[in-house]
Amino acid sequence: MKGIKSICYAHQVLSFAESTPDKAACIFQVRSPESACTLTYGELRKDVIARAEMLFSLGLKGKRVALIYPPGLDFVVTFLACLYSGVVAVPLNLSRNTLQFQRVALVIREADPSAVLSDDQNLPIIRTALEKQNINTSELFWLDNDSLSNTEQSDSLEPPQLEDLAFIQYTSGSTSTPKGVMVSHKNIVANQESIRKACGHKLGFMGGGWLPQFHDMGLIGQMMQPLYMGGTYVFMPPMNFIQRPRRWLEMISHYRFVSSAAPNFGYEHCVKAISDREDLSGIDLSCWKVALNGSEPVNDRTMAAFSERFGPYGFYPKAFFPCYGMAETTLFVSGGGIGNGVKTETLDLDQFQQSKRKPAPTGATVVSCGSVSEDFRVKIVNPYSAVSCLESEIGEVWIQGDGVASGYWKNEDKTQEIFGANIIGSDDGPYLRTGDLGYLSEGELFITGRIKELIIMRGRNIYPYDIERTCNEMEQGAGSTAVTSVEAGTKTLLCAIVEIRKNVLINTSDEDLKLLVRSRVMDAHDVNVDVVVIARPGDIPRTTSGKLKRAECRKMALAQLEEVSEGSL
Amino acid sequence: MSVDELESSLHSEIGSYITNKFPGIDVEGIRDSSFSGLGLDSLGHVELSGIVENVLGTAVQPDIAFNYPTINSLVNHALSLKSEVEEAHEPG
Repeated sequence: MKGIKSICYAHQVLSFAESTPDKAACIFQVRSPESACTLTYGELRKDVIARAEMLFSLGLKGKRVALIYPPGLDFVVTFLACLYSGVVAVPLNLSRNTLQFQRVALVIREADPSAVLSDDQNLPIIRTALEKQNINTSELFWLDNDSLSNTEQSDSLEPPQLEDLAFIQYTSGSTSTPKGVMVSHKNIVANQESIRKACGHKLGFMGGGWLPQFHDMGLIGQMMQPLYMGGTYVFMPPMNFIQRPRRWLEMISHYRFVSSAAPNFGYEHCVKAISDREDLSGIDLSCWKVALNGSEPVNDRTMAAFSERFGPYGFYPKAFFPCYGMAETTLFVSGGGIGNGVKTETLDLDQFQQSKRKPAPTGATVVSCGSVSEDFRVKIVNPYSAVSCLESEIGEVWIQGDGVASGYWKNEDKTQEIFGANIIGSDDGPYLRTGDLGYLSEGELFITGRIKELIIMRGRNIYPYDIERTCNEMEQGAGSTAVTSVEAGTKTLLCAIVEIRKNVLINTSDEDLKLLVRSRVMDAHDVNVDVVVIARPGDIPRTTSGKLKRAECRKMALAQLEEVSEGSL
Repeated sequence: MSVDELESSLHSEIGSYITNKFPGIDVEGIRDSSFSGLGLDSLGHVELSGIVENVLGTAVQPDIAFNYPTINSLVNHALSLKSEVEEAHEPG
């Protein structure tokens, strides 16, 4: 328990209402600062306690409730009210998209909540949508803002215990079955401390951004960390960032953020979508000391391009803070240190493909995901034999620490498999198996890919992400490729589905394009792509969060394989 | 800007966004084709709403291109938004 505070997260946050009641706790800004709504620590405390008492009086302590809110202050208040009263929040994405709503319905069935909470406008819409998915809605409490505020004072509201389940974080997951990570109050506080130490956040700091509040990085990092430090959480809806990415930079500049995070895609979007013609003269990014980049593969070239584009507006390239974490570790595992910027290592390609790490002048480039937090113990383990790897080997990242969650909701088999791993010849387990491959170098964690995505061809490890990057860089490509493998008899075949720009498709034959893909991949990786599928932009199946649906990609590849089984591939 | 000028400006800006995304495409032939059918992803749909904002000079919802998913329907909807804003500001 070293380093862990004995007070629960929500109680810590509301304690700032005594020391700084008039300080802004949250600022929600849809567009310009004139449109911003602010909640002070004094107001936050009042609203959170009112909702907490209502939840408690309904007998929901220890029970699960689904929070399906649009981005905004209501989510913050209700989520904190759940933590404060010991009600187990299950944050979910509010989407009008039918496919995404099917996923919400799937989670509702599995999490089996006692109540659904949303704002007045959306609650009836959600109810109707869930009924269409054959969910029995009559047995649930339906709580909008009005029904959460009509409450009588309760004297019996006691803080939850640190070991209690605090909330369930559903992972976006590439697979069809979502997994609910059980995060305790102790996990939350431990991970807030890890983030604070790694990022050097000071009391009262300004932070925030556009990440969704139901997602682990948006929730634990972007929303909860500034509040944990008595600071100000400033945020906007994710769509408003997509619509006009300069809003994020304007927000950072206007409110003088010290810290803000995005996955690699967010930085890429700024580079691509903010045109050179735009006048950015009012923007000053010199306040931004910690620019976290995590939750998807970190690309050094994106960060170089971002630094070049926004350096003239005060962006400090050394502020880049690649990081690594996941819902299963509450969030943060490694990152930084502060002011280190982007660090890469180049490894010999042949050795790399045999899971060996040998620095070389040319080869595979791997980005450091920063220093491992002192609150975690990270081991690199052979995923097949469960034996510890040598320092010169690449293996699966196994993790232990106070931030590691207790398992998956109602899934004991998966919990045992993922959270209960033991290293052969060692009795210091259990460890969390991350499914990620990587290695440690001087205390820094380097991630090379995912095990499930790893394709072993003739004894060589092929990382789909690397080949996808090569295809995406082809001038004929539309920027999206899926690399996977299929089994044909005793052979493993390497497959690439490559989206090609429309005008190229009109003027070039598929056969020529297939040859081109093969030769590019061969030149870069010394491996033959057995099956090339030429696709139109948007044809590659992806999940709602943009991750590849690899099983469906395999089906596409198999379909092509059957078509040409008599001829050449 | 007159309604005709606005309409022409919307067609031109949205058209050049589409040709920039899909070089070589004949915009005239796809004014009633759905954006997703052309290969535009959800991020592209939201970017289109930013283009409409630029031309109108007023805020629009980020999801309008999902609800009005062709060039013609998006332009028509944008024009109706503009006239609503102007009516709201007319005196009396």
